[in-house]
Amino acid sequence: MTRVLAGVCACLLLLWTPACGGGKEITKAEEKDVLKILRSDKFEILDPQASSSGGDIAILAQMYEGLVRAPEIKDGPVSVPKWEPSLATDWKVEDNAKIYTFTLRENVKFHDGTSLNADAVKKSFERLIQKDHPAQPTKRPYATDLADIAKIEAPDAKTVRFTLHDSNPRFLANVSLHAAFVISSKAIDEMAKLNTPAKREKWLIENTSGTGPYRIARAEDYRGSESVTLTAFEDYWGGAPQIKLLSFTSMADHKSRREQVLAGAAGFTDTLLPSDWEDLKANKGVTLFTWDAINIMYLAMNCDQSKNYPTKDKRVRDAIAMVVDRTPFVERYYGAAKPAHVLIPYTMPFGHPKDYKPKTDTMSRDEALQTARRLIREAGVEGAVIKLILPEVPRPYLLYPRELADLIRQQLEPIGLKIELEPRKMAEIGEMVPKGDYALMLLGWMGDNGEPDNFWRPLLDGVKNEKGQWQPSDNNLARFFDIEVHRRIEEAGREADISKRDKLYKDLEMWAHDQFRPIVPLLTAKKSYAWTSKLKGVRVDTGDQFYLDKAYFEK
Amino acid sequence: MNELSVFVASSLRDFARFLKTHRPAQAGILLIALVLAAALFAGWVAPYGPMEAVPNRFFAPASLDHLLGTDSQGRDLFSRLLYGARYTLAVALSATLLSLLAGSVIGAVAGYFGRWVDTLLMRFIDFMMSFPSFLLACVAVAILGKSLENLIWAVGIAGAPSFARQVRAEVLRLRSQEFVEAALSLGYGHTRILVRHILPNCLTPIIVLGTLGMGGSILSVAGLAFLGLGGDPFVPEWGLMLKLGWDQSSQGAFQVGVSGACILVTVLGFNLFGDGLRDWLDPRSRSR
Repeated sequence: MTRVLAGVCACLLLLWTPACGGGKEITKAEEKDVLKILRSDKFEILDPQASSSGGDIAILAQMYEGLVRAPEIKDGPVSVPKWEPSLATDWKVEDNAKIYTFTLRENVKFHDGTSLNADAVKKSFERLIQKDHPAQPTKRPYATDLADIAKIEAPDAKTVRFTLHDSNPRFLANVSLHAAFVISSKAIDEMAKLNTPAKREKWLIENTSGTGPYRIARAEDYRGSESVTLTAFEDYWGGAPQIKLLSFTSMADHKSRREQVLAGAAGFTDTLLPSDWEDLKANKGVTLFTWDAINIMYLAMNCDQSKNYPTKDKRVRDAIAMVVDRTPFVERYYGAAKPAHVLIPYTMPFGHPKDYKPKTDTMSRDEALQTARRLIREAGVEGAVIKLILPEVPRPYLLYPRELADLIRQQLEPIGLKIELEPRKMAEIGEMVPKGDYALMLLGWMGDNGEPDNFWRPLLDGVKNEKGQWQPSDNNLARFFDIEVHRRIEEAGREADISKRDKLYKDLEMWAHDQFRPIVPLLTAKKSYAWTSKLKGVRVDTGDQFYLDKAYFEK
Repeated sequence: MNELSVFVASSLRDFARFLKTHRPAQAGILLIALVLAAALFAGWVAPYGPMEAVPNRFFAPASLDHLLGTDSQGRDLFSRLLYGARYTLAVALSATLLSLLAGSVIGAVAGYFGRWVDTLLMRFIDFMMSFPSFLLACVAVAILGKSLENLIWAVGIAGAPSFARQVRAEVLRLRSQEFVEAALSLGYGHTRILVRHILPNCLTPIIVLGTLGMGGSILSVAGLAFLGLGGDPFVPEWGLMLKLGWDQSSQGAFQVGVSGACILVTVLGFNLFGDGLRDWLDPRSRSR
């Protein structure tokens, strides 16, 4: 008996050993070329066309590139963005912003060794916009942003011409989105051979197929959503990066992240608590970078009339909006956040009419409480138990998800609504939204390209489904759609004259919130990165992404 | 059961006499009484409700309104600590009772029936004991889901094996005693013998084990809650309160300190008292 047991144990041990020794050992000589990056976020989908989470984009941005890119950030509100060349060196806008012709950069290689040419760009965009593409990704949250492409042509190897359905002055902004990062044709062909989107997603993680300065070199460098190692791409067109390995680790606890950077155990981290900023600024070993980021945190209220949530009644939504008090939220950010009353954050151009607040936000506290109580009574939902979905891990705009959600619960209690908090993983939230099975959700949105369209369209607009019916888009947390709102979003987006466009967006803000109240905008938060002061040459762009292709360690 | 109550009463008298000479146990009883009082009278003593928030008064310093200030959510810390005693004790007690119940049943059955039943059950217990009980509890919560109720199950199940072993040892000792043989020869069923004759005689060690186990349960529950496995972080359980303070910036330090102190005092109380009980039962450590 004993011997049998011993044998079994020995076998188990033998099985165990190789499992422990798998990952890549970083040798001593390489250590100085390694940058250890701690992130507050996890990464779930490393397919640029399928992802919509900030956690993914930070990693995708190291591996993939688009035709144009956002400029480097300067602190303070961003002006109308000017796009910089990336994979395209030059572009021409013709026919009242209906035809865009890009000249491609020469000598650009994909990670798989193939060269960038016009056909590759065409093929990559086709995968994003074509329904039932053979290499279709798991989902395409940004397909609507590029849905107005009518035709893509490649007149020669270095030229790509996009013809749009209608004039679109913000097409460059949409082309700068991570969803429009170019994926190699070889990869798309390979993925087309696989029969499910999930398999394709896995394939693309193991075979990074961009043109960017870094890539996942081996399958075992990707260790789930918690950790991934990127290797420098020696054939990068901008020159091989000096830092040879980037090791990304997800670590939700802000204290541990801060301590590790202070102790030199990690070289780079994001999303530090504003209460720590003073100390970090004073510390000579650390560079703290903060800026007015383009984001908004908001409470979404399910407007879906086919669902039976109390929030489908506008009176309930108004009541909630009335009693939510932004002061304590902003207070928790130690001056690193400003209250928001409209959708478009104050940190970007267009929209946000000066000092304007929707009617629900202008009452005194007592008046708001009384009116809200009356509205809740009239709607007949007094004492209703409502679930509030919130993310488990902090987001850059939502540094204290549970604490702030609890404040909302406190604030809604006096008007007779019982709120139950339900923290969920970001991936789960992504799946929940299209189904719309929740009443309230506390989340936010980070702007990708400084365009109001990038807020209105994903958050409060819809797309036509197969049957030709309008339905809210996949990031529309409030499950709200109104054809007139849709029309006005379209109209504002097509207006080439900047001042007219600004007015259209302002009018839309001043009308839509009072009319429908699908969301309660709460605040816009500054963002932060901290890195060891030995690290130089980090570039942060107006899309809030950091780039390390020109980064190096000071001797 | 009349003999039993007489036995219990005489034991209590004996214990009271013993207590007079055992200082640590006195201290333990005092601490437990303090915590119990807090739990029982929280409703009368606490100036605020455990979930009652003062709007926009976060991290308020100690004052007459708020004896220990307010927490990150604007709730009165003192009141929450008082109510916290209720939650903490209730959760730990439930977990310990669950351990005791499961452990006693397994141990008694294994010890009484012996042979293959014993082998089977005790190898299962050995298997469970080969995992650190804290890890086992972590796994249990991961499977069951994060909530205080599940913490009870997790800690309760993880604590059962050690109880099972000790109860088995006790049952093995009693199994060969004359009164059990007498009961057997009278033709009593096994269940009746186990429940009416053997288990009452195991009661004293079970009580001691339970008391000692309470301290461990409180620590395990607090530890798991601190790891974020306690579900709703705003329930006034001390482990969750400690975690909530920890998650804040430096301003949460006070909350960490006071919740930690409460846990410390309670566990210390149970351990001192449990040690006293053990000394009382152990003939080597005192002269009867």
